[in-house]
Amino acid sequence: MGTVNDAIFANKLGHFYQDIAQDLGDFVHTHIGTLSREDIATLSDGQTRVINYANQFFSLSDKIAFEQSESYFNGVSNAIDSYDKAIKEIHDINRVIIISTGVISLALAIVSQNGGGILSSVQTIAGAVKG
Amino acid sequence: MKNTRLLASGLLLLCIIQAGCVQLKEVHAFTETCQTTLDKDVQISYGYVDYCQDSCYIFNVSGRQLADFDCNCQNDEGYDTVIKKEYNILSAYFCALGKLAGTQSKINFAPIATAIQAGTYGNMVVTTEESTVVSTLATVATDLLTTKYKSKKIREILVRYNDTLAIAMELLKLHIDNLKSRIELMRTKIQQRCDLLMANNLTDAEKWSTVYIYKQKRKELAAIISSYDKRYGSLDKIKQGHSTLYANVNDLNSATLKKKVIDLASDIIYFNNN
Repeated sequence: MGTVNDAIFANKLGHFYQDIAQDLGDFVHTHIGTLSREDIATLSDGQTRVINYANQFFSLSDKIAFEQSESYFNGVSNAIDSYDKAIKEIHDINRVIIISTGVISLALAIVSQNGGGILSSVQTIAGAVKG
Repeated sequence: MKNTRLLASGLLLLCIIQAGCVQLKEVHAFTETCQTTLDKDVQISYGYVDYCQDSCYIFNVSGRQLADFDCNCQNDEGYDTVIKKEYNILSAYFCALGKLAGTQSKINFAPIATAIQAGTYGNMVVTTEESTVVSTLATVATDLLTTKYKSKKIREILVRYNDTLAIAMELLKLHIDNLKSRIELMRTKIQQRCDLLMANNLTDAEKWSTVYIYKQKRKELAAIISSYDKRYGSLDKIKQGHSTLYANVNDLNSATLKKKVIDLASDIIYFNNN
């Protein structure tokens, strides 16, 4: 994977996290009247972390800082497209929290280039999406 | 008699040259549109420095003193300069491409006309009249040859620099999209903070102020995001246009290509005007 492709991939990851952040925000915005304070706090905290990761990926894309990323990112690439739609369709607060926790772990694993962490996070999210 | 033969030979030469000459008006129109658009889009009303200053307080939830919200945006000034330079370089490239494609512009060749002077050349005598006629033909030929040269040169440049330009355009598109997306994230953050504030037990006046500020900032950011969408769209069309020229490099005069580049130029103008 060349540097431009690395930058494109980082940008794509940024968009994935950006979509999740927006979806989490919309979820809170829509259900704020019925959510407990604890749930609001949990989701907002998760959303803040997702926003921070999205920012981090867009920043990395600008700096073209990804190196030797191919081996780690192939699996993530395939998974991304299915997740960003899923959260829009789920209205179960517990599953939304599991997904947001999963994507945060995934981001951490990507940033630290932890192959095992990427796989387990992908599995966690996939499980929550399927229900 | 000698003059008549010379004149006839000159006219024949002109016909041959003209038959092989390529008119690249559409290509020129496209490159000119690209240059104009890039020159316009380099005037960034909201860049990295502005983002740095806004994000500095929007993302800072723990700051207590005014000093906590002061931020160092020195690096961001550098990013803005890089983006401007990239736009300027691309603009210069399309300007150069336009000069090669344009029918009005000329490459600075030593004129052929000056090579023929009245006088005696071995067995041949060139009179002043003859010299004037041939020189006039030579001047026209120079233009046509120049156009011929230019169409050859434009092929050479398209082939040689297409990959480089594609990468440069892709990187610039990425920079534009990355910054736009970060601005969108800032908008998401504002929504989150306002939702959380509204969920607290605010007075009516506090709620109204919160909603007012939220709406104002969203409107401001929406306009900025829209301007970035236009810039991105223009860059995408410019890149497509260059790729189309490259794909048709051996037939720059084809009707299909002419239509494609004019359509792309229209799309770019549309992005600029809407």
